[in-house]
Amino acid sequence: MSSDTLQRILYVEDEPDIQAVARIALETVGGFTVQICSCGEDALQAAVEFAPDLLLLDVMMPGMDGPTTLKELRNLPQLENTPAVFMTAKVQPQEVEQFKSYGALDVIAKPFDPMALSGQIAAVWQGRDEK
Amino acid sequence: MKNSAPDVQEQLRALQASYTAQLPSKIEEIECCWQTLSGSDWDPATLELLHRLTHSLAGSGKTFGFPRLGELARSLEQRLKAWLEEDVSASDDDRVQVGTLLDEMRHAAASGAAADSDDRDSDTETIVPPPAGSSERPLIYLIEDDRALGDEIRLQLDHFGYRCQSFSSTEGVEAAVAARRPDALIVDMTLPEGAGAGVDLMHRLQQQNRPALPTVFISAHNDFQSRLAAVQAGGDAYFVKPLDVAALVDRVDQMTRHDVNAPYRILAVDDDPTLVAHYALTLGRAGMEVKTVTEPAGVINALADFKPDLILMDVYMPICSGLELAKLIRQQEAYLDIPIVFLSSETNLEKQFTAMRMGGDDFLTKPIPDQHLVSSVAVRAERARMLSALMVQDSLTGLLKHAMIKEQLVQELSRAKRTQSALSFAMIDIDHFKSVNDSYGHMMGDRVIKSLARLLQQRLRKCDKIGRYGGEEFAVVLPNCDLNAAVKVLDAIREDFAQLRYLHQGKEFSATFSTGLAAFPGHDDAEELNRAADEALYEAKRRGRNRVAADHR
Repeated sequence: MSSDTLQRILYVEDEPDIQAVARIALETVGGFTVQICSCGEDALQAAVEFAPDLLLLDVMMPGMDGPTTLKELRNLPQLENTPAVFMTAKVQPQEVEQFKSYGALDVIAKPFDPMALSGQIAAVWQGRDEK
Repeated sequence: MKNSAPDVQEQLRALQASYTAQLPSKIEEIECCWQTLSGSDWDPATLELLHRLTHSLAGSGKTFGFPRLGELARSLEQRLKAWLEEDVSASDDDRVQVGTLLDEMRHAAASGAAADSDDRDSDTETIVPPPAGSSERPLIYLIEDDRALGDEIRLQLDHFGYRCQSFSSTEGVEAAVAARRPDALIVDMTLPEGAGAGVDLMHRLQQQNRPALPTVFISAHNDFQSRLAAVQAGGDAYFVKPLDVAALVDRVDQMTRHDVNAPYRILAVDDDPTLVAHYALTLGRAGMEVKTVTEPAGVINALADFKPDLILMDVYMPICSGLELAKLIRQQEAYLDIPIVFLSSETNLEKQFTAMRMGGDDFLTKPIPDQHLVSSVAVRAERARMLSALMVQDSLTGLLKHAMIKEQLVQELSRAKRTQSALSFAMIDIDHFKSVNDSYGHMMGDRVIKSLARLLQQRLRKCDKIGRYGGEEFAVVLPNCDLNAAVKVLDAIREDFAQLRYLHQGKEFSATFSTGLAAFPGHDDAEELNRAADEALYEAKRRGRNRVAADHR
């Protein structure tokens, strides 16, 4: 894995209201450095320069959806191995497996608990080497 | 963790407040966009914009405490998406349905985050169960010139969580109805304007209002002519003075309860988008709510999100056949009893039986006449709903049965542990219930039990689980609610219950209840919680009844 501590998170989410909640959850509660992109295209533009430790992607977005965005990001050499986590509404176990097969470490259910989100992400991060 | 929790909570609350404040204009924007779209030549760019606005609302509603709004927006979004993908414009029926959806969305947005609570997982939302939110409470117009009687009815309605607006004559009623349609009207047939003034008023109102206004008439007369006049003026119920106010409220409650007649929810699965859209249209036209899935893999998600009453499924699909899909669905315990109806051009009986063995309940042969499809689906959905109600609900109160509420306690407790949130459990017992039965008869006893059941339903949150434990004993599971909050809520309900008046042979009486409470994390085992709440209940009884006692461990 590229780095041992999780600090920089690139978050792709189209909905501005959710972005605002997530910003509080990740920056204020979790103390992470966060860059938020409103669509997959923006993420592709910003990713290399921001050099995230972790990608956090909403699944359902107009235009390029989460899995497609991840696929495109993976084509960038700098992001080939960056761990990724999907966020989506009501996930079933079978689907979690499907999302993981797209190259995500885990799936976090929406709506997320703003007080718990950073903890969840930290836990996924901690567990990534055991996969 | 950088910041202290209260600061964060403050920020989150501010976000929620700003979201709530912006909602009306967001919905207005959507409505405006829809009007432009349906008024124009179905401009694709407008449709695209509308889809984006709706998508955004669908994604954020639940997070900010408007789960119902989120669902409605999601279902509108799906329609829009289908139109976008298929490049078709909406039929007249579609347009009517979108109009209804938009109405419901506006209502869901106006009814506030607190009142709209269902299955909340997030800490951003209220922890203390609110009394029925003021704007969510059903609205009753009461037209009664006898001040004392009017006050009495109003008081009882108030206890049950209704909002009541009183009129002492017909004056102003029509304007009020035009301004805001009530959930029901209670009308005295005789008003200061004359003996039939109430009836005349309703004749006029019913002509101007569709659907008909739910109406209860109050009358001093019990003769056929008066009753007939009431029915002809659109009366749904008729009560003779002296009034049994509890029975009247009971009736109003039945009339205004919406969930009983909620449309059937049908999940239609077919790989042919045109066909599945046709089913959706046909069933939608018959008043059902339809979600369509064209990818077998989408079914599992749709089951959890949409919670259908019935699944309508094509047998032949790529990737995975309908038969395999049925088997896959049946392998999950939660969906063991959901009816699955196959649709196929298969006429071979042998193959049809195979389909049944795989977990299908019925086999309809394509092409199927629309009317046949509608009635086949409606009959099965109705029966499925009745069966599931019979299995889980107590017949007198409609609350969960003993075994079900215990199961709910176990489930909610494990969820509370998982999410590290509080949970309270209450045992409630009506005081001296035997003497109610002995003095006033079992009919009155049942009435008291029903009114407590109704009061609990009205005053607790939707996510709270209420069960009848047996006899005059009730149990309530309150997720996300700590002991202190639970004590407050139950105590407020206790006070209101004691205010209710029952009428028996011209004499009034009232009843009280005692409550015992225990909570997680103080107790972390369902049996333990049950026992502790039971002991607290005993303590409440011992200390003189009509009170709430809590196990503060």
